[in-house]
Amino acid sequence: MLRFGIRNRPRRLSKAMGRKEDGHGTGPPGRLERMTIIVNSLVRHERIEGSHQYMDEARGYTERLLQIAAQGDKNHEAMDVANYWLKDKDLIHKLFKVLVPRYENYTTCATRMWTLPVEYPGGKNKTSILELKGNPWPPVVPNPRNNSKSLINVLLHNAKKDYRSASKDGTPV
Amino acid sequence: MTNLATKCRNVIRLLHRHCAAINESLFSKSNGLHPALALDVAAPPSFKQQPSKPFSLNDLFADNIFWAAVPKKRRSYAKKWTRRFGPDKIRKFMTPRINLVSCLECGTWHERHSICGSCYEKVREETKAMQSSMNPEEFHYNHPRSEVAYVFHGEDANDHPDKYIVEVDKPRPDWWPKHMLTKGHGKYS
Repeated sequence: MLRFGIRNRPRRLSKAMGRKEDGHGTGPPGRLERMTIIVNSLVRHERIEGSHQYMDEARGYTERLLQIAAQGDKNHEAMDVANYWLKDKDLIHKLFKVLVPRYENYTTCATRMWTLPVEYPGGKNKTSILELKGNPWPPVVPNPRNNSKSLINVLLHNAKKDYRSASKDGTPV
Repeated sequence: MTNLATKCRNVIRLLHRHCAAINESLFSKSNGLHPALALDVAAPPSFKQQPSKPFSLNDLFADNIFWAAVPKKRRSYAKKWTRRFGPDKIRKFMTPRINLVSCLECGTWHERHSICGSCYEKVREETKAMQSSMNPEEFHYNHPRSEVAYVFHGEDANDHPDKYIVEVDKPRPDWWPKHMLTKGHGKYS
């Protein structure tokens, strides 16, 4: 089970579904081929940028790969899946020896996405960052602000408290 | 008729392009014509080095540009001005943006759902510097089989046992969050 929201249907990625001579225009197999390139790149670099559609599609495949790889490198299925998705074979070692132990005790998903701003006037497509959690790079938002003490948040917090205490007593809210 | 006219225009364009070759074929010494109207300026070295090729009309017609598709109909003013300043452009450039916020750190404007671009720029540069500090052959072809620790100037490599150590040739930047440097914090550390 994936630990983040996914689309109901796979996207029709234009580069993969078009007709081209570079091997990416072969329909659904070409689409998967395209996905392997992104997953491969993500496992190596641990943080990549690209168009939101491609990053979001590749995110699900990466999560699933990590879940299957958690069965261990002695499992036939896990090794087959890793062998398909990672075209660079040195990354298979990284997957089983580094990433699987890293996400062993995670209760959340292993990847994170950020949206980058567009240049004026912008368009339909947006650029995103896709990263593996626990990477060695500097954090994307270095010092996020703590907004828990702002007036609206304090009011909301106390309202929530009141609502819960009232509903416990059985008094109408 | 217009089609023919555009074809002719293409020919003129091609003649302009091959002007140098025509000039050379007419006024070169091998043909024996005297360069009476030639400019008294030294030719650029690239012009001199070009091999002299006799001009022929066949080369013109063999060029793909001559047979390229051309517009058949004149585009009316109504369509032209609609394309340039019509509702599409008004929607794109004149609708007010209501989803902009300014970054609390640097004040740059960005969309509410996105991160600040100028703040991320330094993170991106730092990441690239860290990546390039590892041996590129190892990074791209033989990735380390343990967690990687990047050690900046003035830090001890012994703090990271069982890790692949990469030394970065500069001090750690000031903006790096302090809580990430301590070994553990919080309930489950």
